[in-house]
Amino acid sequence: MKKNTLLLLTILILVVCLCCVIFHIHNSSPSALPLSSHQTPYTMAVENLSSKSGVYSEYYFAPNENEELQISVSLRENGTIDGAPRKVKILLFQIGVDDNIDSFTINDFSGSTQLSHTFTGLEANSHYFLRLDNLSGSTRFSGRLVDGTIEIS
Amino acid sequence: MKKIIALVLSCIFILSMSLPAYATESATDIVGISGNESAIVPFAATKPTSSHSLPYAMTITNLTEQHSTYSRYYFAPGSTESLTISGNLWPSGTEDGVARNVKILLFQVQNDNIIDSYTVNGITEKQFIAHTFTGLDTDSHYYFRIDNMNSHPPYANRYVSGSITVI
Repeated sequence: MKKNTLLLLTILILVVCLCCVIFHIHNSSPSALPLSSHQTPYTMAVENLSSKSGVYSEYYFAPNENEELQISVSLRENGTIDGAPRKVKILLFQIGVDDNIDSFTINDFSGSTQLSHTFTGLEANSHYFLRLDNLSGSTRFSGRLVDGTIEIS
Repeated sequence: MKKIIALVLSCIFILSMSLPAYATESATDIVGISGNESAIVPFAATKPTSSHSLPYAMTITNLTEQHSTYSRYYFAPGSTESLTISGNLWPSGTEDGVARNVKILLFQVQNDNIIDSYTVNGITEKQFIAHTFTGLDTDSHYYFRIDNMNSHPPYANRYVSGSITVI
């Protein structure tokens, strides 16, 4: 009886620890926030971005004279090519603001996709940066990676 | 029984080791600065969200004890890779002859850690201050936080006021 109780407790502890590790991985922060500015146009490249992961642009940018930032996005699937579509979200952040101020989602693309988007109504004296989130798959280990480039102008 | 207790204790220990990892994920609170400064409450609770060209004159009016205020804008250090602050600080509130102590902290945008700081102690009258923060990144931007380090007695208001130009 004692041995069974001990075994049960050991299994319980292992399960709890495993849950903690998985929870931590799923809530991992994207890459570090950008600390310096760069002139536009600038092209950021993304390679093998895992499912349920995000990556920030390396720099932040001033909007153009029309108080907007235009992005030209070129994405392609990588990793497990199982016919499952990829889903990507591009978020716009403003310096000094914790939450994203705008975003747009590219739903269910297979193979590759190209598109453009303009973030408008930005503040001329402020600076902005992007985060690219790979929302494909249900876990980080699904292998549904994303590659691509984003030109910011 | 001892083994069970040992296992439970081990479990608590392992879980407690995991907790700080979660805490870092949400460590964006601007008040969360370690050391004695944790008691300082930002008077202007938001960090600046836009830039301003230099020079820029900022005014501090009746900054209360154990409170702080951010500069309204962030600034580019330019080719000199430095930012200079120059101006005056003076005691306000109750005129009790007690010196005011002020700390001026420099932050880099997107980075909650203090880059540098400059402390002015013993302000009993209008006092000229000047300081240059050097070694800054030309492509980055920086902002200031001004802390009133005085304690707040029940019978006096040891405020600080000032006018500081960022160059």
